[in-house]
Amino acid sequence: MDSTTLTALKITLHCASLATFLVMIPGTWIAYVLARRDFPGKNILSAIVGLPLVLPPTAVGYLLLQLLSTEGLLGQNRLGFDLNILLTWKAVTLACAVMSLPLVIRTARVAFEGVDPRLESMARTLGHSRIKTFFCYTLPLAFRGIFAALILGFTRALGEFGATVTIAGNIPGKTQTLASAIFTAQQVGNQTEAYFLLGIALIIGFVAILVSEYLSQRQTQ
Amino acid sequence: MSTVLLELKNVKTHFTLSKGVVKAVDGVDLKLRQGEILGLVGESGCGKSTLARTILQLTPSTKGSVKFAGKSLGNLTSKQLRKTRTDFQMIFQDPYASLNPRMTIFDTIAEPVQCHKRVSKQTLTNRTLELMNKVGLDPRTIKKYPHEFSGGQRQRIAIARALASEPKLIIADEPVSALDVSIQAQILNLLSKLCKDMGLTMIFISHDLSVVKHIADRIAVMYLGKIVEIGEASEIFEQPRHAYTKILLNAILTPPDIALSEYRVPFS
Repeated sequence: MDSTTLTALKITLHCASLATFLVMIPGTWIAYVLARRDFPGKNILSAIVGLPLVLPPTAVGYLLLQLLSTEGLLGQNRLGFDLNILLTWKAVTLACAVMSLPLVIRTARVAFEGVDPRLESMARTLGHSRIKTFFCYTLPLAFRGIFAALILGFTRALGEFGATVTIAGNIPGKTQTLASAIFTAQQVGNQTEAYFLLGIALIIGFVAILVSEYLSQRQTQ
Repeated sequence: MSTVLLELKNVKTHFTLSKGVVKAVDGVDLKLRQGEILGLVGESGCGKSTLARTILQLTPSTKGSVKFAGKSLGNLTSKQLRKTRTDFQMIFQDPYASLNPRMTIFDTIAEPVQCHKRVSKQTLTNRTLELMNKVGLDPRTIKKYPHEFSGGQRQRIAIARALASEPKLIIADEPVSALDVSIQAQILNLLSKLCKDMGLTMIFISHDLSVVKHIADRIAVMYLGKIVEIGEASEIFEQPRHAYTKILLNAILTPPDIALSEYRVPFS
């Protein structure tokens, strides 16, 4: 394995882990709100957070690019300082987080909906506050589903390509991920390298799902 | 005469939906005296459970007041309400859905005590064993999980948990409707005995008048969110005044006449 490939692997794992960590709390919270609360505009919120799932990843990348460009809402001219995200590993993480968020929300929402609301009512009659009910009842009972949601989010982040290339580019040793390295190897006709990277991607994905299955089973026991 | 423990004045609980307003509870006045068992009957969807949730402040009332031991529950802060909740507990309809599957029986029964007080493990264990004994559960099952019990046993666990915080009022929301008939009788007898022994006040909710007959001192009949008739249990059964009460009474299945049951249709 040459150093560029190793760096691409490191960047992929680092950015995917960080992205999963970043979406963990907001993703779980939004999923809970969508599963348990009724409020005006709920369907609109649900549609907005689900958009990255249906939009072409390059479109999401372009949107992020516009937001982060000098004239954008989060650009240097508006904020007064440069966030210095574009074409860095931070951009890779941001793209991964945005693309995996809807998957985390949708899966975690199903997990929360699977918890019987009568149990929550019962917990409140015992004298628990809403927050304690959430942490003592809802969250532990939905944990397996939330964990599965995070694993799915992580694997989605591992394979992210379109949005990443748009805002972070494909700079070997800097922003090149496993997905973009495979693309480059295939574009330049380096079949050996492409197959090798494909093998690594397969192994990582397989191990991630295997670990999630193993932990889910342990949780059941 | 015993004191009034619970007083409802013109309680209304309405839900605004896109299709209109649902008047689940629509102007209920009720007084419950200490040590009394009130049967609350009515068809499914008449607002019995919503009334119970409103009394427990799980669903806020749209109008009216709920006074418990002289205190207006609607005016309490959430912290004060959580403290007061030890005084009124609920037994839910479905014993499969009201017990946390991740908690042992010890944790389940000890939870209401731990929620409000710091108690040593030994005291908690003793209290849990005492309650298990009271509701007829084998103390050796203290470390088991709810899925290891039958429906009737689970309801006994739920009753033990409801008694754990030494409440003054228990609201039992159709506690036997999910159980077999033979188990229903056991649970009814247990609730009746506990109320007598411990001087508990109870609202027993059911859609079945024949079930309520065995346990209640007074019966309130609810229809379309309102209490249409209330009176002594014997009075309701012998001299029903409201047309809906008469319909409910007529719906009770009675054993057939012996002479009729002995009649056999000739085979050929």
